[in-house]
Formats: sequence, structure tokens, C-alpha cells
Amino acid sequence: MSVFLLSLPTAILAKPENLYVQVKKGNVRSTPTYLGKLVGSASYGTLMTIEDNKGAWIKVSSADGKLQGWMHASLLTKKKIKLDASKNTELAASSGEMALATKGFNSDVEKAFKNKNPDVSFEWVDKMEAIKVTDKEIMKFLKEGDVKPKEGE
Amino acid sequence: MKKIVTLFLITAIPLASGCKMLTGLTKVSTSIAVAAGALDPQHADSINKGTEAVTKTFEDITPAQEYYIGRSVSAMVIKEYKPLNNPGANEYLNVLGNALAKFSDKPQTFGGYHFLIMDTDEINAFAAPGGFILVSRGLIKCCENEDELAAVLAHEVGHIQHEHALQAIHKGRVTGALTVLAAESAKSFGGEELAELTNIFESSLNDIIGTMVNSGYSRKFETQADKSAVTIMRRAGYNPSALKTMLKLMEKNLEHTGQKGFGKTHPDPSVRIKDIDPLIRDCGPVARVPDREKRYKKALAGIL
Repeated sequence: MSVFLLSLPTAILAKPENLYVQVKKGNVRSTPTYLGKLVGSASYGTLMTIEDNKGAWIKVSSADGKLQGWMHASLLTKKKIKLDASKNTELAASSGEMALATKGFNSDVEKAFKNKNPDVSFEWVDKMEAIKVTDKEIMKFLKEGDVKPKEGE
Repeated sequence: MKKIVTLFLITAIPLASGCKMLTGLTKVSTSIAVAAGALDPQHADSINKGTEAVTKTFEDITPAQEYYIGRSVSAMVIKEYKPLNNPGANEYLNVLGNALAKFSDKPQTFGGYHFLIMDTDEINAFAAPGGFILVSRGLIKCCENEDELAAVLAHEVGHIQHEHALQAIHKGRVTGALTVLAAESAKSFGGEELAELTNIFESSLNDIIGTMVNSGYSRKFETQADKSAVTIMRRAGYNPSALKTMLKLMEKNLEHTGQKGFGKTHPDPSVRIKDIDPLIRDCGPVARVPDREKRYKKALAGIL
């Protein structure tokens, strides 16, 4: 009992701090470096618990404990991100992309802007976004060009 | 409740200027709405909280909103500058650009970094919010090797990292957006709110285009982007001296062609060289790496 009483205040004080992922797919790495091995990714709005931090990197874990590793601090926010479930379904169905219902300037506003400005084409913007470069491709590119990163080795 | 309405009406009068007035007036209307039963106190509180945030600046724009602004800004730029339909060159630019962005202080944006070549001889480049980077064929022609092109892209990533384009949005616009957002929580996202938000969105785009394309950023912002470029290049493993050699080549080309594009929106290359010189003193000349040279010439064969 005495052990319980002693540990209780510590448990209250050590209330975990949470952050939300503020990019579509935030990389989670094994070490707090740009070159850290990619262990997975956390999607927009996912709540992550802070475990540690080092420089610009924060060690986090997901609520289900399945994902744990280091994320760059710029990918996380204290601001609560609330996803609109109805919009998610609609977007997922129309674009095949993950749902991105956000407040303010969002897909609804872009749609309204497009309706008002039919002469502004988004064709090439979509083409730009269609080009995806993976972490693996980047590492291969650097190696082939004999470019030797100096950070995070 | 009547007392509260009266109190707010009185306090609103001396605040009849700028943002303060907006806060006061919004409080009046929400109090009246609560009194009239149109709003429950919880919703009214959310509106007031929203408008109290008006003094905040571009930092209130979330990465998701930045992404949507960036998409539209890019579309507007692309309307003026024809894109280069060269999949190989654009892919090379995207791999190189992403390799650099990975080592920036913003290694990922909401929707990722994306690069596109504009099919123009004009020497120019634009970094639209959220990571959409457009580089002209003319600017690529100024680069003699991959390291120099890396310097160009790292500079643009620097602009994204510091959210320079977002800072071109007049503060009043953010205020307006926040007001609409606050109102949005009171009812469903109706046509009226959407129309108002779209108007604010359009004005914000025009603010950005006005600065990015027409007037250019301040020397302070350009120096910031150059400093970030040096850091990014060091971390990635490119020699930052390439930024200096690229600027020298650009200066020569600008003089030769008498162009107004980049020269109009950027400080004189010699000024930029002076600013970065102290940062790259320890860097020797850019070494020639055969494999790098080979892939550079191959990927950009139709441009160089």
C-alpha cells in the first residue's frame, strides 16, 4: 500500500503529453536523425504520446503502441486535429486519397475557387503531386552520385 | 442578459479601429444571438475565442491550409508560365529536390515537396506554400552541374521552411478567415461562409502572387533562404560553395540577357554572395564527381 501511495503522485505528475501528426503521412524513424531507418508512418491527425526528445526530434508512440520511434518536431502539433468522418468517406470515395477534412482553406474552398476561376487549371499541380519520391530512392540517388550526408550518421 | 448586451455595445465604441473593433463587434453580435436564443452559450464562446485570436499572424495557418493555398498559387503561376513536359527532367528535379528537403528544418510538408520545370528562358523560380517549387528552364541553364542546381533547389526549400510566401498574406486576411471559421462552428458549413472564405482565399492568393511574382521578397528573406540552403547542402553532402558559383553564373547570365524576371524579384547576386561568404569560408571548390556529372547531363539533356 505504501508503495502505491508513494508512486501515485509521481504517476499524476508524469501525465503523458500528446501531439497530433500535422502532415498527411509523417515519417517515424528508428533514431533521431534524418538518416534514421524508417520504421513506419503516422497519418494526419494521429495522436502520438511523447516519450523523449533530442534536438529537433521527438520520440513518440501511437496509442495502440504499435508504432514507436522518432519524428521531426515540425511534423507534430499541440493543436487538436479533428477529422470530419462524413467528409472523410466522401473524399476517400472520390479521390482514393486519405481523408483530409480540415477547417478553413480546404478542399471545399479549392472547389469553390475552381468554380469561380475555370481558367485556372490544376492539371499540372495534380501531375506534380503524382510524382512520389521514396526515402529509399533518395538514399540510392545520393549513393549513386557519391553524395555523402554529414548529418545523422 | 440585456445588461451584457449593453455593456458590450458600450465597450465596442471606443475600440472603433482595426482588429480590436472586430473583436468588440463580434462579441456584441454573439451576445445578442445568445440573448435571442439563436446560439447556445457554448457556440457563442467558440466564436468569441475565434475572434480573440485575430492578432495572431500567418502562424495560424495550419500545414493543411498551407497545402491548399500552395496548390492554388502553383496553378496560378502555371497559368502564366508553361510547364515543361519532360518527364525525365522533372523526375530528376523531384528526386534531387526531395533529397535536399529531407535535410531541411522542415523535412516533410503536409503534402510533400514537389518540383516542376517551367518552359521559359526567363531566369526565375517560385516556392509556393506547402512545398510546390517551380524552376524555370532559364535558371537551370545557369547551373553547370548538379551541385549548383542543388543550391537553387535548397534555396527554394529554404523559402518553404521559413514560410516566406505565407508571410505575404496581409494580416487582415487571416483575421477574416478566423472570423468565418469561428462562425462555422455555430452552424453547418453553409454557402455564405464558404463564399466568404473563398473570397479571403482568393485575396490571400493574390497577396502571395503579388509578392512572389511581382515585387519579390525582402533581402532579409532572401538571405534567410540562402543561409538555409547552405545548411541543407552541408547536411545532405553537397558543397555549399556551389551556391556562390551558381550566383556568379546567374549574375553573368542576367547581365548578358538583360532579364527582368529573377533580377526583378531577387537582390543582386553580388549582394547575396557577400551575405553567404562568411558561411562558406571553410568550403573548398566544388569537386567534379564523374557519376554526378553524367546523370546531370543525361537527365537535363534537352534543357542545358
